[in-house]
Amino acid sequence: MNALKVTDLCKTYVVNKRQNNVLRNVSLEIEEGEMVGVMGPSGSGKTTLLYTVSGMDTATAGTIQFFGEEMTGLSANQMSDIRLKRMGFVFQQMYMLKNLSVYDNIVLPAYQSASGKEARREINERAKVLMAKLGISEVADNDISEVSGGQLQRACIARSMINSPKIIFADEPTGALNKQNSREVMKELNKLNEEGTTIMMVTHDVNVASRCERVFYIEDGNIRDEFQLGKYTENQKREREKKLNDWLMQLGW
Amino acid sequence: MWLEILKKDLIKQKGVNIILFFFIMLSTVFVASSVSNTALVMNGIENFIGYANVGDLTMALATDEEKEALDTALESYEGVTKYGFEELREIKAADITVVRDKKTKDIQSGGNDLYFGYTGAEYIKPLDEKGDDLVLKEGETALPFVLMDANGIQTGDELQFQVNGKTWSYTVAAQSRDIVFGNDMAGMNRFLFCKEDYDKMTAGSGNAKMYIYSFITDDVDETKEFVEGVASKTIMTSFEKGTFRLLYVFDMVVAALLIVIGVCLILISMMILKFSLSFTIEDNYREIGVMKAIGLREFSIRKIYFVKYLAIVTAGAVLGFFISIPASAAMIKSVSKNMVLGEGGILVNLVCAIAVIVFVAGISIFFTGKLKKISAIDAIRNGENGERYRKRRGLSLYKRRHMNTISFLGLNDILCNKRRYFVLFLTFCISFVLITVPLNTLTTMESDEMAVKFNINPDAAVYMEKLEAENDKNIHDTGALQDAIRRVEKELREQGYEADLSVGAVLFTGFSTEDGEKTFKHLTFYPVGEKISLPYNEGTAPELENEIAFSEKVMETNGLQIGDRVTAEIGGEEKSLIITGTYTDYMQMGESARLNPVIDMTDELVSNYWKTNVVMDTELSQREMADKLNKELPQYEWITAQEIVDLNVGSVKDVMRGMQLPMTGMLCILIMLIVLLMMKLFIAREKGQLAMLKSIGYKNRYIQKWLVMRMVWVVILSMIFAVPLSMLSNRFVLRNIFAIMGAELTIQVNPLKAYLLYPLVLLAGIIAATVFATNSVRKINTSDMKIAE
Repeated sequence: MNALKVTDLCKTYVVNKRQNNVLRNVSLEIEEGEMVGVMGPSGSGKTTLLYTVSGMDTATAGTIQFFGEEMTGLSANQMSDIRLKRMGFVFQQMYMLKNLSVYDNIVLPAYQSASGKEARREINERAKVLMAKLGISEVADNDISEVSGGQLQRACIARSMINSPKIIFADEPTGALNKQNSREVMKELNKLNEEGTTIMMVTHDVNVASRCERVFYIEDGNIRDEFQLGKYTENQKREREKKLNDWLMQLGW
Repeated sequence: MWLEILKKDLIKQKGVNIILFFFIMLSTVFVASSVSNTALVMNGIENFIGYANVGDLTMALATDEEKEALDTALESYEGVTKYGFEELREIKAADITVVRDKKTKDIQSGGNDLYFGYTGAEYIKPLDEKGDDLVLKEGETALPFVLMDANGIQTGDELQFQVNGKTWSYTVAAQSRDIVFGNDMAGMNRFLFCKEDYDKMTAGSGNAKMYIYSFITDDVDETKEFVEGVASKTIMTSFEKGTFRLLYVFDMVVAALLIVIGVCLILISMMILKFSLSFTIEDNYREIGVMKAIGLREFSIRKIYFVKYLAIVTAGAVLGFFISIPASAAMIKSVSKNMVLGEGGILVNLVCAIAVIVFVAGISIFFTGKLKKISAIDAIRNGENGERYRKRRGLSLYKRRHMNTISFLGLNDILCNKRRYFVLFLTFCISFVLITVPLNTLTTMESDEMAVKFNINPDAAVYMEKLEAENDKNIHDTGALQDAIRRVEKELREQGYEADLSVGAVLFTGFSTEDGEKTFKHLTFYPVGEKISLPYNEGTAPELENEIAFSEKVMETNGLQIGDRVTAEIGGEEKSLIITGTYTDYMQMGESARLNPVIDMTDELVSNYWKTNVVMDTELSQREMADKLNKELPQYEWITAQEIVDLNVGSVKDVMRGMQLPMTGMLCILIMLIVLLMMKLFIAREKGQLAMLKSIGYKNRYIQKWLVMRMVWVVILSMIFAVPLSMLSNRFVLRNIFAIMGAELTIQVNPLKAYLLYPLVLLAGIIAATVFATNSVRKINTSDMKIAE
């Protein structure tokens, strides 16, 4: 089943009476459980595509089907429900509420979607498991200003996972991280994907993109090409990177 | 670049800047008009005393019995440089009628004693509206504003006076400005005529005389003692020059209250300024850092913000100054009708407006000091430097299992930003306390506590203004008072009321301390009829023939204590009396005595008598009973305890009542504006976080609820803290204001109104403003996360 089916998606901004067509008739399909990457030069429309297909931003034209359900035309409240329960987001900047601890930031969306003592107990259990998996248990009670960038990004991933979403959208998830932290974060995303979570990720990093099953190349608001890498395995890492690099070179990257 | 920053800031913080401008304007209006009015009233009192030519000492003689002796004694007395006197005649309200369009109407005295006098006296001169000596021709009369207003009299109306069985008609030619006889608190009003008319009208009349003596002297105490020694029987009362100022003290109370409001508004403006500056600076961290990095001096950067705030403050203060001129005039309107006010109010307004500009500009220089802390590196780190290592002091969500997320987020925000919310908390507290001030003043003025301080029994069924029957002369002895009480009791019985009447005869008694060192003369109450139960601060009421009680002021002035003996001159005899108790009341500015009811007063002259208590069993309220008896026995004036208090406190209560709703409304609007402003600032600052919450699925209404909840927590905390603060303001502010008039009383509070109903109005306003402000949350998109701090 398609996790996401995008048809003739257009996104136009009007700035100072000048029309700027950021996305031009983009069509794509992402299968459930797939991990896809979106690459392209700066200003090509990668992030806009991510925000539009995830419903964070409205489309100017076209249709977006989310697990078979038409998403364009849904009300703000319906979109909120989808974002809260069925989608997860990881951003380049680690946006969190600075007045809450790492742990509270993670459980916040789950507490919002469930009420009652029993439900909260379950959420706490789930959070602990997630944090342990992501290796951030020891910083649970810390302030967000007291942890490293990598730990914070993993906390963001944990937050995006707390309601067991069907899909995670990630915008340059390693953009603000050093090499080691990037590796850790990507490892976690791969693990989540292996467990069945669909992932759509925007990146400009070949190493990161090579961990995806399929990569779209976007240029001037259009998908120019796509590259099939297959399921990620750690031992094919270098080979995948090289193949992807060659493909990108052909496209003039 | 700095022009760019300024432009950006003015546009971005348009709402904040407008509200700041509005506050500065409002502060200027309040401060300028109230300070100018206070100055005007204070100068006005001094001018009035000067124009009216008030002597260093003014004394009143109740009859002419000792006048000749006094005049003779004064001829050889060297303690007085100059002196003068004038004669007044008592007249009953029933003997005066207003004639207009051939219709006649009895005059309403409002409980004040009425007299007629003449123009041209050297002292206590009546003035015209311009402050010049009042001049009347034959056939003309003038009367003070208080009487004209109460009876709807206008110049040109005809007044008829019944004197000595004859009717005298006069045309109202002017409104007099009479320093004593035109003031509510003095309780006496006079009609003025030219000397010729006065002499004609009073020739052979039986109307009681009164003499007002004015003395120019270097030693007031010695002169007072001398006069009291010569005219001990007939001296009613004496006033030093300073006492005249007290007659107008309440005219300043309202102005003082407005000054307090103005100062509070300036404080609020300061808070807004501080927030606005902090938020602007935090917003512009990068730009400020870059400016520093490229070598701009700190002063040049501070100048950007200083220029902006100076422009806003100046614009607000200039507009405020212009509005304050008509505002001052409106506020002073009621006072100016009673007094001769000087000029120069606008200059005070201007000085106040300039002071507001200087003060607020100075504060903005002080607040921009924060710029010093921003280093060039902050530009690179985008202002996050320093915050990274600060410990958060909030709550843990997962530890508060019973609290819903919205309430938690609200409370947690407050705890994490205590300083920010403390300012709001303080503003709300001040507003809640401000709202209770006029409310508690009114509640106190309408309470039994206040009625008791006017020496009446608050539990009486109704009260009588006068005991005289229609054609009776005014009562001036205790025997006649007893007879009048018995007569009214009988008349009431005939109407089916079993009532007991009691009244306090008012006389002016001379006293001396046991060692003879101090002599003093004070208004003395002598209870006639049934026993009147009045409260005592210490000791007990005088009951035996040799007992007396004094007010605390008298005790303090003369160094007396309970158990001490004083000698009183009663009925021409010296009687030794023992002090049994002390009290405070509003009679004669808190200086009075209370005699026992059994002492022989047959030969003592009674100056007047106070309101008559009518005690009986009834289900009716005082108001209902007064209305009923006014129909059944219309020859008497039946009134309520509240009317007695109102008559004696003058227009202050009406002013307070008039102020109550507008003040609540104004406070509510101000609070709403502050909330709107703060919410705007908060939302602008938290835009990124709000966008992030939206991105993880938070609906607009949840985010709005969170923001409203945050404000509700602050309001609830403020309401709780405002209760003890209001009690403190009752104890240390209001109580002292009431004490100026002479008595200590417990400020009365209607908890339902003061601590629930009115705060709820404010709470509703705050929530409405918060909800309105949070509507902007709907405009925040998830893409606004890029603006996150």
